[in-house]
Amino acid sequence: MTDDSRLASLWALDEPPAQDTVFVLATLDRLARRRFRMKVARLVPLFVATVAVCWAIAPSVEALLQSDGVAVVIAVAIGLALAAKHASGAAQPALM
Amino acid sequence: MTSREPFAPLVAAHQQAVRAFLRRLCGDHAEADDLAQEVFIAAWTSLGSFRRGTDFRLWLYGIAYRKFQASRRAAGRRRKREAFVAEIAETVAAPDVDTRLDLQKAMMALSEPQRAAVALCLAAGVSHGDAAALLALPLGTVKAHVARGRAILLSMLGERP
Repeated sequence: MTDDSRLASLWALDEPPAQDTVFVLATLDRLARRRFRMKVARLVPLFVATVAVCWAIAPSVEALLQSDGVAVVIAVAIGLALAAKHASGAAQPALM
Repeated sequence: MTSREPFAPLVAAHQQAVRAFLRRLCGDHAEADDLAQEVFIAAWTSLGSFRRGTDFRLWLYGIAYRKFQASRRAAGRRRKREAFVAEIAETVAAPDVDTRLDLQKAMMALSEPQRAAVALCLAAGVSHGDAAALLALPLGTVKAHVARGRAILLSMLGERP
């Protein structure tokens, strides 16, 4: 047995299995948790900004509602919802 | 490979190589597997930076080496304690324990760059040129690390009756 083949046979004893479902699932589970945390971290500033905007425009909205401006308010709300959905849907690879 | 490609098959296909590389660097199975999971998470988050046409496994080795270096810098008492416990558990279960521990001990006798060069070039079959690029070392240095590391391993393993 040559020196290199001896080393190779010793390393082979320490080799992980070629198929290891437990490891793959544990990795995907950890990845899913990380992905969730990243998503939450991305949504928090958006949520804070939305609350701040709502708080800032509340008096105007109230005035609009009182002067039959419901349609405008609904349109703005739909616009904000679409913007939030677009902001949270960043492209990422699928897990499975 | 596209960034939309499902990730599970990639983990399944490359887990053995990444874990084996990290085992040789860390000398500890539990720590190596933990780092390997971090490697795949880092790979997933930066899939966009992977250049098409290059070797995906080499790219993973690069991430693994940087993760290993970072973990060494951040090494604390907690992980050492966990690694010690894990080593005891595996020592009880694994076959050929003496041989495996001898090899681990010999690998730990090498410097980190030597160990990385040996793990890549001798154990994983990566070319000297690719290893040099991956470790950010000159080609001559990598060749010297491999030759010297190989000699140290053989001399230490040769002492075993």
